[in-house]
Amino acid sequence: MSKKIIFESSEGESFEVDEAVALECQTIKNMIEDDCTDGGIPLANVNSATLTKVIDYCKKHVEAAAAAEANAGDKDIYGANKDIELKTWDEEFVKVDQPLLFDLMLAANFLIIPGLLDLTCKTMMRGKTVLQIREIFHIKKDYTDAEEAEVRKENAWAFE
Amino acid sequence: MVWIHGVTRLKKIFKIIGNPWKKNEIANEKNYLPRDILFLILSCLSMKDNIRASAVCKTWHDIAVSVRDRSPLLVYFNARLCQSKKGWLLMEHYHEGIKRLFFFNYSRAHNVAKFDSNWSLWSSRIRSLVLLQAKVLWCVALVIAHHIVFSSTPGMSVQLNGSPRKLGVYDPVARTWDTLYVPLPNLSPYLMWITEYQGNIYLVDSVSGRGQMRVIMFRLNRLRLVWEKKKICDGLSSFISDESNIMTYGLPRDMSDIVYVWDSHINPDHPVKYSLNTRSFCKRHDGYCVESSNTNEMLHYAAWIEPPQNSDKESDLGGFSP
Repeated sequence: MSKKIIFESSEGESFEVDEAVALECQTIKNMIEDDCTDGGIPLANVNSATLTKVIDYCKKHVEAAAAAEANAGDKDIYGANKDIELKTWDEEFVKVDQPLLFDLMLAANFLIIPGLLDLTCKTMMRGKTVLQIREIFHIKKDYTDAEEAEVRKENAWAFE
Repeated sequence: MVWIHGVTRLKKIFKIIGNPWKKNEIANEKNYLPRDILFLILSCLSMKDNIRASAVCKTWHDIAVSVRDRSPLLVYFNARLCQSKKGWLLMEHYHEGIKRLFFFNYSRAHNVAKFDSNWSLWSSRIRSLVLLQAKVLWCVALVIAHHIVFSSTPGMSVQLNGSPRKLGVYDPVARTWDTLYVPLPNLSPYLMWITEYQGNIYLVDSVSGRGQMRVIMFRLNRLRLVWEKKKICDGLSSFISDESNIMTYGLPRDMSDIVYVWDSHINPDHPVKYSLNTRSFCKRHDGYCVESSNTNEMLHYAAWIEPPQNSDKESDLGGFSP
């Protein structure tokens, strides 16, 4: 039987996961290598809702990696095309509200899960207009109208 | 001992990280972005989102510009593209049975008819125009099977008869075509491309045999008029497609001596990455940025373009003015 790792969320709730799943987090990987995960890992800054999602993500990616490994012989010479299914899964995975997405990003940053960090960062900004971004993050415009117009003019194609 | 040390150390780390985190949690309610997190987010974005983010405020602008990707973008167009260089695209447009070429500056999103003469160009198999980075804008056309037809003034056309040994060079200032006789290396019938970097002209050829495909690179020796085979590519990265060929220097190491090929014959889904060092296709095909993808129909017009530069002067065509 594979070794289990226990996470503890900020609410004190325990989550048991396979070691292979926990290894997706670089931070936890370092801890496991240092052999100091007995008695659970307290994650004071990750709440249960976020942690559940993070574990889902790691599980899926461990499974996908194992499946890819098993099918390694089928790969064409240009590399795998089989990650399309995983990409679709990722896209569905981040269809969450803005606060949870934000928490997921912070958790990915803290636990060092590069794939999840990249995914959440991209999703957070994708297709948003400048005004929407300012609204979401409560940013005050410090450009003058002329300055902003200049920035937009430089690469007008991105603002269409 | 090591074990105890590890636990203590980690508990300390968690304690240290935990505290500022709590602050973030409070700030988080207002979706406040600490600078390091902002840096992370902006580093992950596509070029379009990066540029849009740069218009949010001055802080965002500085970070967005500092993390902007320098590798070429793969962009899908709904119009036929001949070549791109320094923010300028040379595009084709059909009008009353005549193909017209015009320049388009994508970063400013407007048409500029930089050429005052309409010259049209046909090539049955390979159409490669190379705009050399020089005071004089040159176009090089590789004549493979049939012929290239162009008209330098409306209503008049000149034909360069096809022979697989010719290289046509157009000088837009003198408005003349020159034909260079350069014996071509033994090439594959379909997949080859011409590209250029700082005045050097490269020929990229794909050879298949024994179920494997290889990419071979040649450089034109303009004095001796021969194609010289290159084992590696002097640290250059080459981005090629039928519509565009870009060579770049100074990309990260795992992107040097790499040929990125976008061609629907090789792979209809995504560009492939070939390492000249290992002489094989790379398993991971990262290192390029796909800017937009739409229907399969659009994929025929996928082209590499150089990423927008930060300086306005970069958009000049190497000092060229009509």
